[in-house]
Amino acid sequence: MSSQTPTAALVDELKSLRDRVMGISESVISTTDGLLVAADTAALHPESAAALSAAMLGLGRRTAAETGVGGLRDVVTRCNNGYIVVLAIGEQALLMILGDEGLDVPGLHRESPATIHRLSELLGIAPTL
Amino acid sequence: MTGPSHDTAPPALPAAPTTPAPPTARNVPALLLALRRTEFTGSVTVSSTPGGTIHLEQGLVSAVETPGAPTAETLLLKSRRVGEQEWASAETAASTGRPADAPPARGGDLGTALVAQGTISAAELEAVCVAAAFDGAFALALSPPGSWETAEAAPPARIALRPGIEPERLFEETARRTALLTRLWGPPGELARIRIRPATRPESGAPRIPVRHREILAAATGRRTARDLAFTLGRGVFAVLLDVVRMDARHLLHREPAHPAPPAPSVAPRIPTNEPPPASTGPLPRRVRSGPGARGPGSPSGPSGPGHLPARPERAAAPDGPPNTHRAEHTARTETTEQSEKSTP
Repeated sequence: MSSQTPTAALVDELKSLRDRVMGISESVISTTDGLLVAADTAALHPESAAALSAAMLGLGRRTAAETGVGGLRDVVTRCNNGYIVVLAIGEQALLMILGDEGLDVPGLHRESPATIHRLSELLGIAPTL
Repeated sequence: MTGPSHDTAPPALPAAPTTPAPPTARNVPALLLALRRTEFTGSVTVSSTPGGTIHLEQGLVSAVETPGAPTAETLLLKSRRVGEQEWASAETAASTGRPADAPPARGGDLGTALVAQGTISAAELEAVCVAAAFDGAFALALSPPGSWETAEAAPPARIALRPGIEPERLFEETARRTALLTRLWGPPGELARIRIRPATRPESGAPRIPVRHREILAAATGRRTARDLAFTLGRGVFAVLLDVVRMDARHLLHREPAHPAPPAPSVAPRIPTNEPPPASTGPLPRRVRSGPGARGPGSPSGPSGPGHLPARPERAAAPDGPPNTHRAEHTARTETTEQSEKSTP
């Protein structure tokens, strides 16, 4: 592995995603039980975001299973001034992304799988693919 | 804020009008001109990073939507011209106002509803829409050209300019803006990628900083590009870029490195860390798109880093471009010219 601490490598990955997709403002990696792993944030409170996004992902998965609409892809919340997107990283972790209302959603769909893949490698989680 | 100065499109609707004719055009401008001739109504979706959608009504541009610039909706809400409540009630009115089975035949229904409920005057709405359309076109021009597709059945813009803008006028204005920024600073595409934060040491004995600039300073966290600031503040990207150029000339800003040095590779072999790795031959562990401007602030490095200020000191060569729509830019031009004059020695 590299000389970097794992957390720094994770944060760099988040920054790289922010550079590649227009409109991303903050992002947080958390475990599915809501513990903060790493964050690229400015205004957001990372621990709160970690806990809430874990709840969002849990609710999304459960609701998806209950309604029979297939496996969960992502949880998207659209607000007046932006988006909150929660993506699963394997079974044990997740990525929460905060974007403004101009978020390049197609761009996010294009770029996020590679990011998720690299994050899961960094986290030592076997990629789901 | 003059409206488009062209003749309004004839309202007479041809009965069976259009050859869909997505002509084989060389580029988007050529395509739009061709679609103008056929009075195409629909949308052109440009796929690039970030790309966007150009809405057309009878060949006239009624709206431009792109992640690269705030839409009319963002401008209206962020500027508090329209409150969230009023927005919601206009959405309700727009969707209940038409028969349930009717297709949303024309765009602009939301804008019409906002005017109908007295939230905003038609003239003010038009001014915001014109500004958003020009800014969107400018932002589209900043991204590398990509492929496109036209769609007649695409959902129309919900806040639309009617009549729209002649495509030609849009190109002229975009070219003027690009040329202006290029002259004052350098390639606008590079400028647009810079993330800024306030200079640590405020200019001593500085003349008063205008409110507009103070707001930018307050929002500049080092994480935001001009585009991000435009969304945060509810302003046009072009306007913010001009302000950034001016503030840069007054040394009010620092540039963040566009990238942290690409993360130390997790898959690369170890190399002695005390000497720089051979940049071009080494393994490239990560695909990080770093623009040529991706250097630290003030780093004197290489030909790639944008100089601290305009490369071209020759000033006042302002070709009198097409008539401006934005008064602010007039002042912008003169002011900035003075700045660069001061900083040339």
